[in-house]
Parts: sequence; C-alpha cells; structure tokens
Amino acid sequence: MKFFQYLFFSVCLLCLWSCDEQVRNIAGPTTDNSSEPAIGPTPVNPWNINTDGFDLLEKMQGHWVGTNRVIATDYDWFSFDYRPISASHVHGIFEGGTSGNLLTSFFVTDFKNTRTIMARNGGVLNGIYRTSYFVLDSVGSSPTRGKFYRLVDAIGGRGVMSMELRFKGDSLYFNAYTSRLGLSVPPARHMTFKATKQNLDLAQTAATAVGFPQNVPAWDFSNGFVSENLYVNQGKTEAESASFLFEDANSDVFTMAPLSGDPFTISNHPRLANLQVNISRSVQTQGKSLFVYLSKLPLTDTNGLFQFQTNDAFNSVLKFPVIVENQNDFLFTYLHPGEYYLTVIADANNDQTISQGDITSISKRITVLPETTQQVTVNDLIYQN
Amino acid sequence: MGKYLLMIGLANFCCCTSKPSPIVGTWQVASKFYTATYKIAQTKQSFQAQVLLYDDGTTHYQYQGGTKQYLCKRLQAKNGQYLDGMASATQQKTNPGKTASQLTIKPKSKDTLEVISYIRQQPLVEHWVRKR
Repeated sequence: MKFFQYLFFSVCLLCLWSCDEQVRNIAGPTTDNSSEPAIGPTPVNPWNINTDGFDLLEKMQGHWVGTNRVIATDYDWFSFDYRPISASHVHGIFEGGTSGNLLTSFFVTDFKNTRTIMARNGGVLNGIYRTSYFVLDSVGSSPTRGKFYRLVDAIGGRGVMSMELRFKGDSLYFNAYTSRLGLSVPPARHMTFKATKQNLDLAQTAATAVGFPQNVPAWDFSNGFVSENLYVNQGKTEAESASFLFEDANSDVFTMAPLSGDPFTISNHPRLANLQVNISRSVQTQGKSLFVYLSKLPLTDTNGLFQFQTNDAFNSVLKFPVIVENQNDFLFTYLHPGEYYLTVIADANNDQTISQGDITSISKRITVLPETTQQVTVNDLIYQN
Repeated sequence: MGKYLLMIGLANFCCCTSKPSPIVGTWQVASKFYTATYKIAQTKQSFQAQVLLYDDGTTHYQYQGGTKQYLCKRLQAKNGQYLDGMASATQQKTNPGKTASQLTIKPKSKDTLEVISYIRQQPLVEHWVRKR
C-alpha cells in the first residue's frame, strides 16, 4: 500500500514540475505557444497595457552590460544605455561607428484601438536607412522565470519579425528574430543579448527630468501607417513589414529620414542630442582604427594610462563606436544628454581591441545638453600604454 | 536446432558489435548564448536530431513526451560528415545554382562534434559535447 501512495505522490509531483517546464515560452496561455515556426505574415493583435505590461518601460531602463550574438558574430562585451526621453518613451542605441548604428526605443501609443507599447527599431547601416515598428502582443510572468514581453512586426506579425524580452531580477534576455523583412521566412534568431543592469542612476536622473513613467501616448499610431510609404519587397505587391527604407551611401540620417517615409524621425525625438567629435591624429596614430568611447567613469588616469585594474571603468562604457583608419571625426546621434567621459584610443597593434600598446587621449569630461549639437576636439591622442 | 541457435547467436553478435555512427547519442551545445540538448538517432534512411531541451533566454522547450521537435530529420552521411540538405527550405545558397547544406556535423572526437549552421548565409560554428 505504501508503494502505491509513494507512486501516487511521485506522479503528482512530476505533473506539477511538468506544468512549469512544458511551456515553450513563459508568456502563458495568452500567447501563441505553438512550437511550429510561423511562415510569412501572421495576424497582429496588440496587447492592452491598461491590463498589464506598462511596466516594460520601467524595466527597460538602465545601463545593460553583457554579451551579444548578432547573426553569427559574437561580442564578449556589449552594452545598451536605456534612459527615458519623455514621460512614456525609453531609448537605447548601439553606435557602431563607421559602419552605422542600431537603435530600439519603446513607447506608449494607441494602435488598432488598443493602448499598447510599440518599439521603433533601426538605424543607418552601410548607407541604408531602415526603421521598423513592432507592437507588443504578449506579456507573461512566472515565479521561476520572471516577466516576459513579446513585440511583433506591426504589419507582418511574428511570422515576419519579433523581439522577445525577459527580465528576472537584474538580468535581461533580449532576443530578436528576423526574416529580411519577410524575404526568408520563417524568421531566424538575429540577436541574442544577455545582460545585467550595471547601473540605474543615469536613467533615474532622466526619468526625474521628464516625469517618467506615464501611461500617455508618446506618438500617435491610432490611424496606423501610410501604406504607400511602407517598404515593399521586390516582387511583392504590398508591404509585409512595418518598415521604411532609404539607401544612399553618401547621405546621413538627417537627409535620408524624411525620404524614407518614416512617420517619426530623429527630429521628432525629444531630449536627444548630437555630439560631433573631431580628432587630431598624432603621427603614430595615422592609419589606425580609433575607438571613440563615451563612459560614465574615466578610462584613463591623468597621464593617459588605462584604468582597467578593475572592471568598473570598462563596464561604465556607454557608447563604443569604432572608426576606420582614414576617418578623423565622428557624429554621435540620438545621444542621451548628460555627463560623459570622452576617450579616444588608437588601435596601435591592430588587434581590434583595447590592449597594451594602444595610444590614448586623456579621458575628458564633457556635458551634453538636451536637444543640441555640440562639438568637441581631441588633440592629445599621444599617450602610449 | 543447435545450428539455428548458433546462427541466431552469430547474427545477434554481429548486430551488437556493428560500430554505431559516431554522431549517434545525446549532445549538449557548448554555448554561452543558449542551452540546447539534442538526441541524434539513426533511422533506416537518415539520422535525426531530436530537440530534448532548448532555452535561449526567452524561448524554453523541454521534451516531455508527446510530439517530438527536430532540429533536422534528414541528416545524411557523406565523406565522414553529416549533412542536412535534403529539404529545399533548409538549403543554404552559396553560389548561383548551387546549394550547400544548412547544417553540417563533423565528428571531431568520440565526445565532440563540430556543427556548422548558417544564419543569413553566415556560418556559425559551434561544438556539441556528448552527454552521458
């Protein structure tokens, strides 16, 4: 008899355990838990944040530091600096340097008669301006795995593109799945960013300045998109993605944005600033790649020597663009206002990372004011490490 | 009767001692970006890699009976490698008119496989370690 009691309780325990582990993702019954990949466009059903999910904006705030896999390239160190730019909008951008940048901002809006959150993702990469809009369609939580959010392409749904975020304690898991705007379905994993929150104080300062967070629309999408402005893949008759594209290798973001048909461009962003960095190259840094870093803490001491005895300084890096050998200036766009240390490092040994032998400038403290374009010149790129 | 028993015994011995393919077994992906465990089994025509566990941080799947999920179902042995290129959906375009396998498995040792997959036509090389 004891054996059967033991068997009964074992089966019960197994069932309980299975309930938590069997789900494909943790969004729960409100999410499409189908394990079959979506092929092509799928329906878009915005999630009402008046029920749950508004907290995505607050959770997204902070300086996230971790690792990133983008397509098939692994980055052992990567960061996103998310801060509020209005009462209902948080913004973060990866500034890659000469190659371009990639941003994702999250904001409150009304879309398809639903108060929801949308994401604006894109940037300028290799002369191509792209912006894609995503809409929140799933929210879920679990005691063991934290809180989960999924945003899908606002026109093509999960079958074209999606991004998933999970927050557990101070950890963020951020995956993006793409299909070249519907050309190669089903979507494949495009980005896997795993990070911990390095600090929150920069975001909190911004939050205080803009009265964040409030459940009010940052931008109005109640009428959807202007269909003739959307990008349509070659051979297709209508758009399968809420994306806007313009290509011109010789133009900048300010020129291409209005030509792309993007309903909200860089000029529509409150609070964000630009910073033009001009670099005077010393003889020994001619022909070298330059790391143009903005950080919360100084990266060098007053003698121009790296201060990497602990990880604190390096993990305070907020922007880390790399510019090519013949480039002597760089324009930071979509930049959060605030205090930064600017350090330029010449990759003297061509190992594509900061290391002994590289040549630095002394970390210079700068203040970036909201909605301005400031200039700064670096002419002390001479300190050999 | 003794002859039959001897023949059955020999046949059984041959079956038991025939060398299994080096990729058959349960394998864990060595990656800091996601966790995955696959079970590779041989069928009559091919090899199949069944997903036992997958977790990339937001998507979690664990096989607990019922419908099976597969990473690939048509792995074919060719020149010491194992290629998944039978279905057009999984083929990787290289040059015009040519296709290469979307997934290539190369045994590196008894307990290690080198696995090459393609994302956006970019090769991703990973190692799978045998799970005992």
